[in-house]
Amino acid sequence: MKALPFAALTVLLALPAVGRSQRSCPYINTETVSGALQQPATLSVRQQTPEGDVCDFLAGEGKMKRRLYVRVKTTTDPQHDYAKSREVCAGKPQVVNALGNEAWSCQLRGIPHGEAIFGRVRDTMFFVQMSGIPDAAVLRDKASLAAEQVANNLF
Amino acid sequence: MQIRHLKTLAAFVVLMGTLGGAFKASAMFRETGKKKPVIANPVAKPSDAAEAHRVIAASPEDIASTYNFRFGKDHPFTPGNAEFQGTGFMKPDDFPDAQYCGHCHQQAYAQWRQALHSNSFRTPFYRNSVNILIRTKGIEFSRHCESCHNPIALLSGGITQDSHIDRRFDREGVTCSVCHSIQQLKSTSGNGGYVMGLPSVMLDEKGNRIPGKVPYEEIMRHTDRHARAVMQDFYRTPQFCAACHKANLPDHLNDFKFVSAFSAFDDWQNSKFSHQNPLTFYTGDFKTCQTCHMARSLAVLPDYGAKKGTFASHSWAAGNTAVPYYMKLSEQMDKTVKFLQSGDYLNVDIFGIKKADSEKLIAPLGSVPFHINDKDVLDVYVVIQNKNIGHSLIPEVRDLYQAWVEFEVKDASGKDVYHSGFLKPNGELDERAHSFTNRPVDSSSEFVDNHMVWMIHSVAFDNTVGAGRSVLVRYRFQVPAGLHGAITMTAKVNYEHFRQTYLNNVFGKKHDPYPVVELASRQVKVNVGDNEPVPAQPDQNAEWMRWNNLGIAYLDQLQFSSSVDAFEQVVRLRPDYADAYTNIAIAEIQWEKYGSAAMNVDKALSLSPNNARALYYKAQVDRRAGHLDAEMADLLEVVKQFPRSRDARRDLGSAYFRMNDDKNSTIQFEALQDIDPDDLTCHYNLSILYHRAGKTEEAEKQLALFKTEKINSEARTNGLDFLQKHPESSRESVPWHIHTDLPETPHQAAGAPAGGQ
Repeated sequence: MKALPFAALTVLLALPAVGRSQRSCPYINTETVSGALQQPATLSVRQQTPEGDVCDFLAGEGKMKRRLYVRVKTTTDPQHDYAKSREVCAGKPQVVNALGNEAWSCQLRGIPHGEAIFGRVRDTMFFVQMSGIPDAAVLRDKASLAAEQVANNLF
Repeated sequence: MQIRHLKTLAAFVVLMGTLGGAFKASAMFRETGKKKPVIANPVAKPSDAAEAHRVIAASPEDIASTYNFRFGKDHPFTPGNAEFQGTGFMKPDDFPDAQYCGHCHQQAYAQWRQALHSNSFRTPFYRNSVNILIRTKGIEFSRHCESCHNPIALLSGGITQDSHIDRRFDREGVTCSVCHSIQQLKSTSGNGGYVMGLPSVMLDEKGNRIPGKVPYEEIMRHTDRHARAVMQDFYRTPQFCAACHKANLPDHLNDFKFVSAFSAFDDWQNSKFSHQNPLTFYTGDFKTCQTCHMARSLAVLPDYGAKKGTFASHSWAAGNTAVPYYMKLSEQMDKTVKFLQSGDYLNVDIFGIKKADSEKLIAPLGSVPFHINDKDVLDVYVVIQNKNIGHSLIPEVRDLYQAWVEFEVKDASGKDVYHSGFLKPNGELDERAHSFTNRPVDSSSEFVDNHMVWMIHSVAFDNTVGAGRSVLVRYRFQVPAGLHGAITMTAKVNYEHFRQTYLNNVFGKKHDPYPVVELASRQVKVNVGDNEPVPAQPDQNAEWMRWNNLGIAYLDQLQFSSSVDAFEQVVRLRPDYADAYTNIAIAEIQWEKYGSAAMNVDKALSLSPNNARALYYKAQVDRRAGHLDAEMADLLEVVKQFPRSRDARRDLGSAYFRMNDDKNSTIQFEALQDIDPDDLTCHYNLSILYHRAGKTEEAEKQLALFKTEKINSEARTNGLDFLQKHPESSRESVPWHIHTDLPETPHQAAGAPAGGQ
């Protein structure tokens, strides 16, 4: 009986440590994201979801808010996952060379200044979405940089 | 939050300091006032992304506070050999990005952007392997790899757990400011054997290096200072390339012991192109790595580095077709294929035929009449000569890259009679092909796949064609019964970057087929019936050289009697060719026929007095005869003519050692160690010599190096275990063997491999 409160205390003490260990993203680090978003970024969400392993970075505030969203998932049905990924696209995705096994990019539907890049490394799908950078060329370049970090860490 | 604010403030201070430095530099250069074309200053661009990155960069001190110093505070970059000239870590922004350089050096930038150097870290082929190291052993061990694949990450402290470095530079790999900031080379041990200076594109008037980006207009006012800042004489030497194109696996990496990996540099130093080795079979013009891999060509883009309209290639075309294929870099792909198929690098010779029931070699094919019948069992001798490559085929990473011989025999209707070295429908190479590959094995005698070099304990077999040498590949087939007319024999050397099974590991089994490049080939038609001599093919070697190459191949396959016979044919065709007699002597020395060897060496010296090559082998004969003074005199002359001859230095050091002349023995071994820092004989003898001289510390160091660098005593056992389980590799490991589809002979069925002497 006396051991129970002690065990609970141990768990409580350990919780922040567990939380901290999840404050980094295994596919891209915060500094690289900050560089890509051109503002100091923080990892706001890092969790396993039914759609995959998610890292969600935010930078800036208000109208200047910038975001990098990364999702990684092992797949048994790449076609299905590809179809699901392209649902976010405003138009037909373009093939991206030299990224993973195969990859595509597109502008986001309904989100101004947004770019998505998604693809596959062997049986792992990756989805990278960047938004908030007004210059379209810079946005594409930075999204591509982020996607390359993610994909190459999956090989 | 407070910490973040502090970091931002600190970064702001750093930024202002940097900008201040730039302004100071501008003021300094303004003094001279000489007018030059003005090019926009990138430092003044407010939208420059690099400047935005600089604001949020972590300081080197922050990096050090969380860095994994597993190998000691004094060895932050171990298991690689790279060093920083300053203290602590560099900042990624210390390295100007390639676009900054590309503003004035458009040709260099365009070539580099497609080249392997710029993509050294970002390709799946590399990442697949290094990611395994990071996941299984720890990222700190990958410093061994990143010394050359990602020097900015390494030197800025990014190769550690939970790194806080912005990795945007990963896309630049070995960027301009990496190579052009190296201030010093360490020994030619490789593994990133360089000392990195703080990147500077300008010197001040006193010759001090000015770090960081400098406005273009200032560079244009002082191009001489710019050139002195970014160019060093040693950049043009093979030693510079050796910093990364030589590798070994140190005990820090494998927790085992030193294992030699590859050395394109040593290959070159021992080749005819270095003019440093008197023992090569052929001679040639002096060439460096840069001669072939950075050849000058017309500059098609504006580049201030161009000279007389030409520019030293920054494409570094070599053998890698996989990266340009994957990255859809068509220019680089074209250059690579063109490079591989040019240069008269390899010569393929379908040299002779031996009927299975006869000892007579019908050779050289095309020069002699002969008759074959249907149902004859023929052994075809194909000689592959590494004619003009300054290193072995393949010089690096033979566990991933593969070259092989494809040999096809077809009848007049085009139907296959025999085919070896084909690609199977799944893209994998016929296991029985003659390949120029190796098979490293781990402590359990299993093949080390995925280039997990930290697992390698030994190498089960390692097939290559050394620079200037030749190999003999034998094929046996039967002429089909009733066949008439001509049969066509085609021998090719193909190259694939990478082997299919590795590509499958990288991408999974479903992926595009990767290119195979035919490096060289030869086709010969023979009649089933009578064959008369035919004119030599235009690119065929002269007849004496064809025999000479056969002799070299026999020598390397330990068939000394046949080697002597082949070299005697060279004497017959070129009686005035001194090397022919020396070649006979070489075979005879290995065959332990010293008396005859002495006569042949003397004959060579009578034709070419003071010939260093002949003198070296005369010294070997003198040693066996106990003529120590004569041996010394011969070797001293060789060293006088070729001071960088590792063989002569080694033998001379040993000769002095036997004479108890410790001082001169030490001088020779130290000179040898300067040429090859990993020479085992040096470590062994110097440990004794230093000990005798009372230099205990040096002696201990050499002894430790000897212990770690000497071949693992279990290596042979590991290798044999592997070969027992893999008969196709076992066959390849035998010095000479026959490739055939015919049933095994009773002797082979009893357990012997298809080969042996």
